[in-house]
Amino acid sequence: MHFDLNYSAILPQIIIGVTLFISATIDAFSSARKWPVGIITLFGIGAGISSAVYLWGSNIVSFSQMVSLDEFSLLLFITVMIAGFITVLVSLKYVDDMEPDGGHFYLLLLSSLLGMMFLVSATNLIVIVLGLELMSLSIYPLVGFTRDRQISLEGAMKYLILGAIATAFLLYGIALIYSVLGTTNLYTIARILSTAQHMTGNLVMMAGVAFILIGFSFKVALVPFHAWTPDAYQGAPAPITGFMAAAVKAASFGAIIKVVIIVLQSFHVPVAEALWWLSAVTMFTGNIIAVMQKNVKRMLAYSSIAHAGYVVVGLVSGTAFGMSSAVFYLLSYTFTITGSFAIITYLEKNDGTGSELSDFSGLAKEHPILSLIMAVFMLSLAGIPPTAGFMAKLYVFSAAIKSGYIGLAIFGILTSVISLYYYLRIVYAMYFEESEGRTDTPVPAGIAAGVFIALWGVIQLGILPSDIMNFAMQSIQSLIH
Amino acid sequence: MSYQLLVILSFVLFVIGMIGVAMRRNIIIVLISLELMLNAVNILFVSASKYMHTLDGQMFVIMVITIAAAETAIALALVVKVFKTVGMVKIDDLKKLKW
Amino acid sequence: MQNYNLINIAIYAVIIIGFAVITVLLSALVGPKAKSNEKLSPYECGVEPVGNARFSFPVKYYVIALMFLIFDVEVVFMYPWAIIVRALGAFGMYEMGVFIFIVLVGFVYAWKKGAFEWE
Repeated sequence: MHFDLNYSAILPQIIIGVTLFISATIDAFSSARKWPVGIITLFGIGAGISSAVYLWGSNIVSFSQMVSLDEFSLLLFITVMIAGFITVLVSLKYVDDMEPDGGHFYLLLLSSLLGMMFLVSATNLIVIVLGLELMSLSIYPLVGFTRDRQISLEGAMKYLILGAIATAFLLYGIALIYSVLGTTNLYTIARILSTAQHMTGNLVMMAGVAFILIGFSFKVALVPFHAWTPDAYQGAPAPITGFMAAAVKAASFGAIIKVVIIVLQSFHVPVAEALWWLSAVTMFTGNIIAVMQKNVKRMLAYSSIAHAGYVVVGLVSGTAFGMSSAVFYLLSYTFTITGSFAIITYLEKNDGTGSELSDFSGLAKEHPILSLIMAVFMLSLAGIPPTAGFMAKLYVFSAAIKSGYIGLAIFGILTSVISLYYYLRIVYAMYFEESEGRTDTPVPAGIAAGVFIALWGVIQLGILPSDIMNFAMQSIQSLIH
Repeated sequence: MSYQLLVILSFVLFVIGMIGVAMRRNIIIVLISLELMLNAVNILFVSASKYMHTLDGQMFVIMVITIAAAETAIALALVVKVFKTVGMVKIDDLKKLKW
Repeated sequence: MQNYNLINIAIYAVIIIGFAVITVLLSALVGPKAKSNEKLSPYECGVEPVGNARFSFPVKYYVIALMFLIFDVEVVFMYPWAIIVRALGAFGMYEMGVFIFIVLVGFVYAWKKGAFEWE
């Protein structure tokens, strides 16, 4: 019997998986303080990032064409692992403060990373679902991590139910496509579709594609499938909110980009039109509702919905440049949002409060450096130069204009002007409002380290974006070949 | 049974599950409806596998069963926690967060 | 096989549903009714029912049930493996060993975390 097994195709996943086992063992046999588990996790993720960098340039398809290791998956591996790294750094003190015996925090984070990595490296729709589920099923308990907080459980419950509906939709769409074509391999589907013109008007096929699109839209929270996002983001512990906004979004978008590039280009359905509307509605709704929010976590939840809309602008343009700009956007958003939530983690109190807008008032007097960095992150989210967010928006909108979607680009720019209002409100609160007497605790070393890594990323991508953009271009090219 | 009928059956089951998720207020019933949706997927996979003469579909069913079980386990664990803190398992009681 | 007419199925369905409805209705209408206290109480193996059936179970039952659910479903993967284990040879044994090891790590973790403690 011949087996198509090339273990180097899943080397980064193996590293994360082994780390998971080691961390689980240490967690099971260790005492109340769990930061050693976090340190092991940090080392594991670091090793994973190094392996992904080391493997850059390889192109392996293995395991009966179930997974592929190409530059696209490697770049997204690095993105989600950076998000995981910063999140673990930020949580080292937080976990021990919040929950006695909370080592499962790191284990769930690792297993969700594992799921994300299989999600972006999958070349088979079933592996995509398995990765997506491993990711989501690890995130639900993380949202409800602080068990005695009611809003936390509530957010987790809503996220779980809507996430499960999304999975059911996705699976049903895959089953419909399988019932027409008899395969779930992305490349085989693309080959069949490009030769069989009679598939163009096939209703079952159209329904399958629509179901898959709906399922993914739930996962990345595009309007009108965004209902879970604000609740889950507000209810989750602050580091996890950052992780969800960065890594979960990046991984799900990775899968969408892959499916769109490989399959949908050869299948003539009006996907671009559907994405056009989704992105326009998402940008508008996310930014408008964010303006009305008083709670910063909830505000950033709506802002993350809006940012998903900006990423979709890159997808709508459909060119290689547009896709790479979407990947670049995901990377820049990862740095910005994990950094912002690192600072919110510092402000969040044990009972879950501390993330209201008023909690930011006068922060600049007590923590001038932290406030300055927070202001930089907010400017990056709003898209002001010289930050990563500006370059990302520039790339995405110029890709849209090049492909002739000028209306969408103008609309996107207008909505980001709206977004400026609520991002600057946080900056205003920090610098020009009086504080209401805050208990002054020193910034933990982990949070400081995480914030500085994120800041480095934001500045690096903002000032010297061309190198990273080249990597993004290479990653998209590796999918097209 | 012809293949078309099985496809229709799975679609009807899926829609019933969807209606159940949308209409019922008890979390346990919602979870059961979700299971129904996943099992509709299973029926479609198995019948398509038979029709297409490929075994992949039956393999996927095993995966879907596992996914469903894991999902149920986590959902029930959360329900137990919600029951302990809120004291009810009705969806309408989860309304601390809005807008 | 392929010539199944949908109308046949529909007629069949109507007959079945009609039969079920009519039997239930008929017995409800014409059947004798003896509403004594004994008749109306739920049947519990002939023993007097104790308390309400809808009380909440202690959480520990749920935890055990969840554990059972997870480890029960893992076995599903062993059935297809068992069919071709001879053809797979040593490689199959090794792969299943890895699989069981992964499950075992989860089991030990749950054990050490006290998921199986009854009290």
